[in-house]
Amino acid sequence: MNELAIDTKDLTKTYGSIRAVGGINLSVPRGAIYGFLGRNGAGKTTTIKMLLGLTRPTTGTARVFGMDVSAERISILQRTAFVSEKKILYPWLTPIELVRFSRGFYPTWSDSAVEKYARLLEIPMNQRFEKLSNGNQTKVWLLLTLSQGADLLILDEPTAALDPFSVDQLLHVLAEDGLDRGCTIFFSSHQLEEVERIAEYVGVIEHGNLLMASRLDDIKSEFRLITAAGNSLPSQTSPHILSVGVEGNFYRYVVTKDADDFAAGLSQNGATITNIAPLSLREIFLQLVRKEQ
Amino acid sequence: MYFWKCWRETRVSFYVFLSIAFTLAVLPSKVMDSAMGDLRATQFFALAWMVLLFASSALLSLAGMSLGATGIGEEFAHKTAGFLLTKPRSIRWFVWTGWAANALQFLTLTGTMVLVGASILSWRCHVPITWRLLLTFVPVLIMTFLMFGMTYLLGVLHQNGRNGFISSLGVVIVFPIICLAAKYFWHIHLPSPVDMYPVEMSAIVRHPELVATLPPLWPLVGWSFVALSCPFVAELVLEHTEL
Repeated sequence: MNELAIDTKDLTKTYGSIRAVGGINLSVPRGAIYGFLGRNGAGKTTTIKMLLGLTRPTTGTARVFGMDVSAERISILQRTAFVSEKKILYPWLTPIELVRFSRGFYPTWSDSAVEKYARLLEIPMNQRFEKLSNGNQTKVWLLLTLSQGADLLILDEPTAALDPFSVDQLLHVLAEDGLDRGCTIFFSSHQLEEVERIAEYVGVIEHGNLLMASRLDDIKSEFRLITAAGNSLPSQTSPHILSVGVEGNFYRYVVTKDADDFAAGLSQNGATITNIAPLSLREIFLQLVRKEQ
Repeated sequence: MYFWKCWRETRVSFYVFLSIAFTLAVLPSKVMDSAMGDLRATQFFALAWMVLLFASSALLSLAGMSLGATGIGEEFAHKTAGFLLTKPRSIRWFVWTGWAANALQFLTLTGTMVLVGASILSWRCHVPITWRLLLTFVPVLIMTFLMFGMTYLLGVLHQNGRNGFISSLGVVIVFPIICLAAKYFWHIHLPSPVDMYPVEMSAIVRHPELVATLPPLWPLVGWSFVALSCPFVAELVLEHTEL
């Protein structure tokens, strides 16, 4: 059995001269919660569309549960639930009618899940979709997705338009219920605190390139901000030095690996190490994106 | 599922068309009763039948275009295509399920017009309804599927059902003009859906027995093929469409 839920090799998508996705290699293990981060226009949605067979890759391959997205689209969709970036559904249908519409497509559909999430997320089930608030429209998408009984949830900005309480509920549901069922969750977001809260793996995409993809714990244990005081310390970036900030005699290094070795090297050059601090995911993300720019 | 959704989307239009169909089926004999009551029964029947036939053709063509505009093309305009096309079904399944849902409505509308209209006329004129007479409605049905298919296809090409409807209306207006121009200036007979209708209204008054003339086979086959080709082409277009 393939151990990867999502596996892409040099996945590329170009629109004319614009390269939306530039040869990314994603590996999402089964049962993992994977946060896919990137700025607007970084290539997140295009990648997701290729995974769902809505857009064809220009080059490269993408596999979901070992199935090729171009050749086995329907088999993939039977096991995949999707929340679109644009949370638009049929405006004249009520959530109950949307459930009625969606139910028949999936043998794994769960009506008890519909009841549970409708109650939990406080969705007015008899109101037309167009009359619902943006937050409730998003919740309807999530309800349909979560009730599908899918093995893979692909969520494009799932918490957009949700209030903090609903975000909290959703993250709880994803982390608890999703993992209980052994479901793989691949979600894109701008809300780095949310990703940090539930994701086990993180990938950062910028200008169509995957800048980093790893286990979140590994990332957080390796990225360090080192503050050193001294004269004529190195001020150039390198593969392991993401950024260098100089203020008078103080140098602030963001290193991606072997922070202690790097600090020891600085000390040997006469520097005084004043602080070695871990970075939040937000800080790591900003550093990576700034470097890419 | 999708069949239900197609019905849910079009049911209001369907009820409107059904009530118009019912009215049109009743109207010819009522109006003609007061205007041409002195005609012989067979003449009256033949004329009323032709009026019913052309009224059905006009109404059902309009119904075909209206319902064709609600096809998958409209999903792109409403930005719901991403939701629909991530359901585990093939494009072919969506196209032909939608086609079947609409086909049932067209058959019901045609059936209503034929049965109600024929029953009233038969009762009023004491003329028995034969299979030959009922078969004169086959071109109406084919015309309806043609209009539906064309609007559906144009909606898919535009990725907008409303624009598909407008383009389809354009074709309905411009195509007969092209046919007439070709005939008038170059004496070329271009194939036209009108070829499916064998009898002209003017001939019916003098020869009422012509009302039961069977439609010519090859135009029926040809335009049926065109009507069925449209959803196939729409399917091909959709297979190559990216969201």
